[in-house]
Amino acid sequence: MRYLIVGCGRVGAALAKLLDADNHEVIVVDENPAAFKRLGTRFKGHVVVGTGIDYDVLKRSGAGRADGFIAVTNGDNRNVMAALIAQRMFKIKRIVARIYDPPRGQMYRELGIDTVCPTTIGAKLIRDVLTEAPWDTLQSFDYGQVTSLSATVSAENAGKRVAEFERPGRIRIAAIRSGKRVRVPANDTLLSEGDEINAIVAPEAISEFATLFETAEPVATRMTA
Amino acid sequence: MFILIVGGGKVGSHLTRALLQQDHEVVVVEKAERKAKAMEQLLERDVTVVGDGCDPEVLAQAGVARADVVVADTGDDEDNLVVVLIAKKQANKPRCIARVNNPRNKMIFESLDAEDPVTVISSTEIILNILNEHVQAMSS
Repeated sequence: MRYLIVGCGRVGAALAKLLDADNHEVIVVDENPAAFKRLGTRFKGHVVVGTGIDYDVLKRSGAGRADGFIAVTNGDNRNVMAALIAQRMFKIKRIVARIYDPPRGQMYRELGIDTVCPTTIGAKLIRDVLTEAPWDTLQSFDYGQVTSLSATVSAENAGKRVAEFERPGRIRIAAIRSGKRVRVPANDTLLSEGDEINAIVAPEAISEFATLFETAEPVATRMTA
Repeated sequence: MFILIVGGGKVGSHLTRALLQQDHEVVVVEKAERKAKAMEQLLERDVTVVGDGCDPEVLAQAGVARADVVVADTGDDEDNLVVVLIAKKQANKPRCIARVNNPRNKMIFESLDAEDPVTVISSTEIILNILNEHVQAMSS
């Protein structure tokens, strides 16, 4: 895939290196040529000096043929403008903009631009480390509207059906890991002791979720096998 | 009419003065307190709100919800774009006028609302057009 990244700060450079290492074609745009030093010596992609909110600069950078576009300059407004140019003038399908100000993130998503808000994610991560929270905030979506939580099935809950733990609009069991096997459960899937369940939980139902799996110590691992 | 101006630079100041003389109600949002104060002294009127005009809360405080017209005339295209995005979300549907430096950016502003298009002013483009007309007149 060909990815165009606007902004070669710490996040932009780190992302460029990740995508480059996965053998994607990466082009990084930044106004300041010195910023490209962050890419290191092993970066195989291209760099373009210029502002990301200029049609000509983006065209020269190959925006017309990009599969994905990422706006990570340190200005929220610049990121949204770059994203809109990518969307409206270059018709790029996958567009992500970093927005520090959470209320604005919502507004931009209404325009069809996916946003990532490091402010909310960072604050939550710090809170969870601080309070030794038993879940993994990295899995939180969308500005705290829903959170993904994990818990281990206790002996008491073994043999019960998934439906018994679900609460419409509040708690959905998304995945179950039994040993090395991960699956998406049906309503009548039976839980076994030691299974790890992963649930999507509304903020007001977090304590309800904890009560449901009270006897178990919730775990903070990702659902990968 | 109630006109909300975002950006209290030179364009904003002169515009405000002229509009006040025409008895319009004007509020100017300006980030720099010093600029805002200087403007109020010059105009001898309490017309400014100090704050970031790209912040929806600041615009709400400045009265965007009852504005007839919103003018985005900061020096940065991206800031003007965000002002327009916020204004376009208001239920009162204010008319939007935006200044852009890069004429290429006009299209982005114009694409925001097909039914009630943003009026985009690019002085770069205006000068360029006049120059082109001049060149054509000279060559014919």
